[in-house]
Formats: sequence, structure tokens, C-alpha cells
Amino acid sequence: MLAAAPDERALRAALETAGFQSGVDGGRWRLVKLEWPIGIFAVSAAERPNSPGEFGLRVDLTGYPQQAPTSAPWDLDLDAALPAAQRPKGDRVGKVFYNGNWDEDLALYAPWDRKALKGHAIWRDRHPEDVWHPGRDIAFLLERVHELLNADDYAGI
Amino acid sequence: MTTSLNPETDENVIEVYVHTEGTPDLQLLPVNRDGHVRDLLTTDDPAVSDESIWLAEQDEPLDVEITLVDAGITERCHVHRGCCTSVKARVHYNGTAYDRSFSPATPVAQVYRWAAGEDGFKLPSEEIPRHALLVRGTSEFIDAEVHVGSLTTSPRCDVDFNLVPKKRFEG
Repeated sequence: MLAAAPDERALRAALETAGFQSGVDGGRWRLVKLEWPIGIFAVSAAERPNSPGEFGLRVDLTGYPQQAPTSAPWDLDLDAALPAAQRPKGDRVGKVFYNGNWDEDLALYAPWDRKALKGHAIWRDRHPEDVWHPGRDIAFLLERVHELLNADDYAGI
Repeated sequence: MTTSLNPETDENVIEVYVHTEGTPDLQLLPVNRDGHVRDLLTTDDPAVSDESIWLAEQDEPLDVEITLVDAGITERCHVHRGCCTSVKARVHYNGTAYDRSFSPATPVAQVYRWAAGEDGFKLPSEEIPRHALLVRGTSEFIDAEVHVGSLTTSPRCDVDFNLVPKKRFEG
């Protein structure tokens, strides 16, 4: 059996950290499955009428953590991309999960997403607190998404 | 010390989340289920330690001589370890500042609720999700679960925050 590459080893180590495990134990997120380099995660959301209790992310972890992951909103039941109509809405989270003016809508419109960051170099200066760098880990990404899905301005789907 | 304990091979070993003074990094510490609170200290001898242990979100430190069971410490619960018995949080916004003392085991989310709320800067409700706390002099938001006591060290035991807007991702 081939030894795992450094990016896979780094991710698997991150899944064992207290920071990631605390999120799992606290019901904030969970790993649904990992088929390298794709990880499917579920992130819990605040209760809203006619809205799910969690949202899925299909996260491409190639090059982790040197490269930022890129995450597609994901339907966990169908194992397919989540249609725009079923994505979370709200002042900040709606922008991150769906930006109608952006071609790469199968990614999160945020500085911690590889695809989004590639087209928005200026975010490195504007959003240093949110931008991905190799010192980040998977819990950072999930914590950011969890915050958006549990803020008062999250409006459900 | 407890570092040789293995919860995967010994069912009498549990893991406890330890928030430590001076670092926002969380630890998952293995301890004997029938052990004592003192087992969570960084030294084997509480007599030479100024550290205390708190259950998360509690104001009073635990008696280190009681058992984990009596203290209510169970598998994967959160505790705080440090020497600061209280932490003064000072929050700056629009040229003014409010300060208040908290238990070191207080999550930053609770400090934010106070700072943004009626006893602090009275942000309009729609603005509350649009702001956050940054430790002054840094450019990192703090995870809401980090304890305020993890952002300072004894004997200082205070933290300065800026209350800042969360910028939307544009452009």
C-alpha cells in the first residue's frame, strides 16, 4: 500500500486535533466521508422555518494546507451539488454560498476558498482575518461557515 | 503526568478538553476516569502550582483535591486551566471603551454579547451579527469558543479588544 502524500497526512492529522474534535463533539460539524482528496462535511445551522439543520460541503483538499481548500455547497442525501434555491440565504451567508455574478458558483465566495481567492488577490489585504494561509486548518474553514450559518442574519433557505 | 494514558486501549481513561492560559490552542488531555481535578494541572504537585481549574463558563475554580466525578468532569467536557482568577476585558469602539471582569473560563462569544449589548455599546440588533472582536494589535478573529483566559497570561490578566465590523466579501 502506498504511503499517503503529505497533504493527505496533514488533513488526517488535522481531523484528530482538539480543535476539529471539539466542533464534532459540540455538534457544530461532522465529517461525512473522506475519499481523498475530497472530504464531505456537514455544518450545523441555526433553526429557521422550513430549513435544514445542517448544510453539506464537498471540500477539495488537494495541496492541504499549503493550498486553500475549495468547497462546493453539497446535497448530502443526493451526493450532488446543492441547487441555488436550497442554499442558505441571508446578508452575509447568502453572498458566500451563492453569488449570482460569479461563474465559479460551485465554490464558497470567501477568502478561505481556493477558487474564490484566486480571482480576488485584493482580499489578502482587505480580509487578513479570513484569508487562507498554510497556518490555517480545516477547523478554521468549518468554524467560519458555522458562524455564518448560526448568525442572526442567516435567514434559512 | 498523564501523557502515557491511552483512551483507545484503556476504558478507564477519558479525554478532557483543556483551555489553557496564554494560548487559544485547545488540548485534548487523557486522564484517569477515577482521577482528581489536580491531574489536569501542569504539575504533579498542586502545592507548588498557582494554577486553578474551572469548568467552562463557571465563575469559581474547582477544588483540585476532589475527584473528576465529584467535580462533574466527564468525557470530553471543557475545562480552563490557568493562574488568572479573573480577566479584565476592555473593548474599544468608536473612540470609547468599556471594561468588565470575567471568569477566565468565559467564552469570547459571551464577552462579545456583553460588549455589543445593553451593558456595552448597544449595537442595533441588525448590526450584532455584522461585528466581532479582534484582540487589539492582531488581525485574527477569535473562535467564539475560545476562553477569554486563553488570551492573556498571569500576572497581567487583561485583554484589549477592538469591536470591528465584519467586512462583506466584495469585488
